[in-house]
Amino acid sequence: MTSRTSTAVASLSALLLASWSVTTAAQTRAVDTLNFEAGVESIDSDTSGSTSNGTLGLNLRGTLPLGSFFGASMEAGYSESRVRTREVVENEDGTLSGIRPSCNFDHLGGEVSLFARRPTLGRIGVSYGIGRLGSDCSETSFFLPHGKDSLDSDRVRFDVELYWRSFTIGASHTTLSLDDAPEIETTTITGSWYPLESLRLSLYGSDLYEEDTYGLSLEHQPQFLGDGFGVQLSYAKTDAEPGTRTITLGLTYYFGKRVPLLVRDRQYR
Amino acid sequence: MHHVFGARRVAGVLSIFLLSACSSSGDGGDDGRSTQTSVSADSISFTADAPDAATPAAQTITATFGDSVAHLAVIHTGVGIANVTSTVSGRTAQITVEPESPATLGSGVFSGNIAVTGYFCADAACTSLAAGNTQRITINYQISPVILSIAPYVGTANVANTAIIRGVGFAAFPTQGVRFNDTQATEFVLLSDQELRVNYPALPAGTYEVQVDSSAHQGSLQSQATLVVVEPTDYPAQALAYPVAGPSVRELLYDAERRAILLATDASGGTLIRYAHDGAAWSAPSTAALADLQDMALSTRGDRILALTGTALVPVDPVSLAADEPLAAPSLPSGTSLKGLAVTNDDRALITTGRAESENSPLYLYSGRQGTLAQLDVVMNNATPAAAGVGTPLVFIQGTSETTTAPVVLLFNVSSAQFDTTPVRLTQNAVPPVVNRTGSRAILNGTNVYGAGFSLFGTLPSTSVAATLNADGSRAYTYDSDAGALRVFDISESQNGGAYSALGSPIALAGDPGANPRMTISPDGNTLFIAGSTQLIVQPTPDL
Repeated sequence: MTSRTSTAVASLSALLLASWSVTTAAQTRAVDTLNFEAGVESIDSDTSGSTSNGTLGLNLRGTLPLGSFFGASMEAGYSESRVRTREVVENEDGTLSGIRPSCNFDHLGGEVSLFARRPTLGRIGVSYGIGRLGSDCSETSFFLPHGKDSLDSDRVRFDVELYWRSFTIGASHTTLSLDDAPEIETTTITGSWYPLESLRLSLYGSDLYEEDTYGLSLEHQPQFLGDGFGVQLSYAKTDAEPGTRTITLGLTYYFGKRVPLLVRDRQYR
Repeated sequence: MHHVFGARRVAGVLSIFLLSACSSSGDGGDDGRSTQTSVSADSISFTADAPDAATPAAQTITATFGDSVAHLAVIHTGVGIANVTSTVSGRTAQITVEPESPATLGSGVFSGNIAVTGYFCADAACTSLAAGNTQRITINYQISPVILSIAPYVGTANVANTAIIRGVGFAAFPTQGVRFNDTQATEFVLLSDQELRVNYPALPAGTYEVQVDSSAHQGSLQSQATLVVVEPTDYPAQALAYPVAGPSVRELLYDAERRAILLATDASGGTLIRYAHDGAAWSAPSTAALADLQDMALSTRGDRILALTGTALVPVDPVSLAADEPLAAPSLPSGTSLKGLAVTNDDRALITTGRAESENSPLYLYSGRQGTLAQLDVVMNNATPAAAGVGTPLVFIQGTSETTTAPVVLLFNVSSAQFDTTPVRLTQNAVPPVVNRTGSRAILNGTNVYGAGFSLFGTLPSTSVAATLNADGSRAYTYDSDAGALRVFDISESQNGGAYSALGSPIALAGDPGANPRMTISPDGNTLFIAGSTQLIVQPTPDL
């Protein structure tokens, strides 16, 4: 998938750049105004026949305009995951011999992005992020290949989005570097539709680890909450054996000006 | 709120887009997932032959994981696992499983599980981890009970009897039978985790390995217990001369397994004397010098004589009389020496100490299985011990001629490992205490007969200078110094503290045993042995 999807990212970028030159008139700014958002999310990840994780995460993001065509964002996040270990160590009759071992992960990370956007056309950007994963298991537990209990990472992502009416087609390519490990290349393609200005429905696919992951996500800004809150729900499944399915439920609070989700995605975020 | 585009048209466009993405990435699932983890074994078994056996060696499993695995977690449950450690080398990890010490767990079957899970980045930015497959490793750990001994270890041919089997860990495996070689016990009762009471049927002469059956246990138990069944004795009355004149006899034993008589004497500063019967006659005595010899007893399994000197316990070969390495009594107080010993039914012995004055001094515990001699917190006043034939209880009588207040007579219950006081207060004399096979009767000071609850059943003549009891405690045999003869008493019933009358007339012996005689009886009850300072008398037991 990688070569073809990378080609798709490049094609979308070329299309965006070609269109850019002919639609420069009567555009609003890349980012209307400085804005912030804070979110909390709960993730349940379950691998068939293996352990499942429950994750609770917090993140903050600020986006600011850089002139008319450019914008930048900074994001920081922290999450903790608890591994549900019982099902893999219990006896065949469902009893447990002794005490259930515990195993937790945490992640602290941040990302800065620089992008150019024409709100009627699309967006193209580059991001750099760093992160640190830690583990705290009651038993032997270590990151590979160095055998430590934490793992540093950094990443570079290129992304492009095309806006067309109530549709957004996006693609991104991320190069992830882990401590002492080979780089991981991931391409993600996303198709989004706004059936309502306050509702986004997205389908996406990625090739992380050369395996296909498909997902569906919904984000809604209920008008009765004054367009100040966004609720996200997503489901993703990895097409592999054993398969992993992930369900995410998130809540985001948007500081500042209240705008519909479609406008927020194309003029604020 | 308003619709910005037709829903059907949108759905169609997105479907085309995603189908395109699918077709362009269709080879992902067929490449084999690089997040896979595999292990070299899915089960591990540990076994220990006994709860006090050494901890089994650790076992190692190799885990191999794919290139995409970013984190490996090895978790376990189960009390049988003491520790799990891992070392990484490239894309493999050596997972070492260390079992718990058998002494910590006791006997039983202990199961556990180890789960090896590789985790990989759940998203392109690796902000969380998702699990790959989990490999489960099942742990089975069997710590076997051990059969240590049977007491008495000698039985009589064609005579059914009762015995105590001692070991460790019986309760962990339901006992379904007790065998003597292939012959099943007629009855058995689990008394505790360390003790079985068993009735065995009449058996022909021979040696029988004691085995406990339990379907829950894989394989046979380690058994160190052997029942030796011997033909009954029929020795004629006879006087046997000593190799040296006039020794003071400190202990007299009959070794039924080897048809031998053993004496601990003070001859030449300490000498063991042994007479063996070859089926026709008693051999000339063999001797072995053992300085400052005080007492002796056969070990629970009869495989060695436990000889006691003033400062050490010396294991001695029961045939050659060759002494093994002495076990010195640790922290023996100044002016104190080892005095007497009595063997329990669990391959141990309690050892008393004595002083020149009427004062307390510590007891010692000998452990045959560990080969150790340790001082106890218990103190007694120059106590003399005696053990029942089944190895419990042990009776201790204390005091010296200088003792002004009669000390309490103590019992040691081997099953509970507790010292108990009796209602009896009595200062010992020169006649050692005697207890019958089952512990139902005891004679103290050669005159006082005690029964259940250590109540005084009756008295024997004060002229009794040596005494012994038959197995069931129905008869007491004494050597009467005034009569110079053997006396027999029916002590099956209590006289409520009154005097017992002798059965029949005094029975003349084959010779005068001499001063300060000791007396014992063969396990079959057929022969009495009386040894004084003059000679050793072998006397068929009177049929009274």
